[in-house]
Amino acid sequence: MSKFLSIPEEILLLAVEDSGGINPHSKTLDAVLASAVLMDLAIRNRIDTDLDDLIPVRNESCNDLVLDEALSSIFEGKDKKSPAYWIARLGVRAEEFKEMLFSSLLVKRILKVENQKVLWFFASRKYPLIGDAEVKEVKSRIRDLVFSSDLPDLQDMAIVSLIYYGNMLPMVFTETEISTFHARIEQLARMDLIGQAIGKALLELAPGFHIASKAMELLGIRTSQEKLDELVDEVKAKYHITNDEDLPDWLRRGTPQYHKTLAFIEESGTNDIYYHHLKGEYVIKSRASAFSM
Amino acid sequence: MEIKETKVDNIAIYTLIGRLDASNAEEFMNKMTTLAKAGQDKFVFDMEQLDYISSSGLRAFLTIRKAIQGQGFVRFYQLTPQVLEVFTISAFNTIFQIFEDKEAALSA
Repeated sequence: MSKFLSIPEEILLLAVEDSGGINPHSKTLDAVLASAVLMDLAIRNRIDTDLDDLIPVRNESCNDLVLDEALSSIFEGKDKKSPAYWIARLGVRAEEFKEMLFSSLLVKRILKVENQKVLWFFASRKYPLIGDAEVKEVKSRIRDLVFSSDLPDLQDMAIVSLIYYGNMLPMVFTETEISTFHARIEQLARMDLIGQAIGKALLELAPGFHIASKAMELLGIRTSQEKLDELVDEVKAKYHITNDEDLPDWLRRGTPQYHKTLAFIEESGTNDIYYHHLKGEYVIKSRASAFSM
Repeated sequence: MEIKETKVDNIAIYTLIGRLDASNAEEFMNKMTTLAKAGQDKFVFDMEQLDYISSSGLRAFLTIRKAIQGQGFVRFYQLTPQVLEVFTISAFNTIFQIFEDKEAALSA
């Protein structure tokens, strides 16, 4: 077992293709990554769950940027919430988490970075694998577990649960294997209550994670405020946020950061953005460059 | 959570009383896995007075079972409806032996 990789890192590795792109079977990756973060925190005894709630346990650093960020958010919450709520809340920050995970995998020399010019003004950044040893190792562990009747290690159990509920099984198994070993896969996937909650949450959230990209921009000229309103509505729909107070500050009306978001959309002309909290930067999703604001 | 230990025919029976959650699961797991690594291979848990179990508690039982060497076992009896629901939803009822009462758990 690759002790030095976190569950989110292993999940991201499974989703990365040889070319450095994301596997098309990973459409639920944002939610799966958010869930992977929660599972890792649970195994590290920072949070606990039951059939209804996610319970903060210990606000102590995991020495992992993504896990610590998520833990900090969870401990900022005033009331006890369901795991599904936290999957949605952390899912909002999935792009930011992905960037942190890519950076971590670069530092660990598992991925490399390739910058390509797609158009004269667009840069495309990809993260191809340096070798395939780590991916093979994760897949081999998961396959060996499923093909045996052994009791699982906690991390392997989490990964089976994530790829099962996240519809990512084809990244590890053939169609025939999925069919033949379905009962065993399901048994392993159900073995942790977080897996159960994540299964429900992904079923509820999955359609939102398929929201079409920015086709709306092609429909006409809109004001920056309209573009920002659309982004807020999209995030609320995607993550099932019903209360504006639950929006991140850069999308919550009345906050100083909200006004900066509006200014950034005005300047860049697009609402295809997210805010990188740690760097204090806005990032245009379709470009690699980050902009300070 | 309170743990009471009794022995029947050299098989240890642990009566769990209260709640098994993140506040005590690690300590419980460490205590039991220490016994398992020292060679104890049969664990029977009386669950009649265990009111609540969280995912930490489930992981503790899984870790204990993995620490047992050879042909040993972990058995449970008299699960409360709440705990049985958690075991069923998480498929733990398919990997652990669950019995109605102590006699059945010991004679299986």
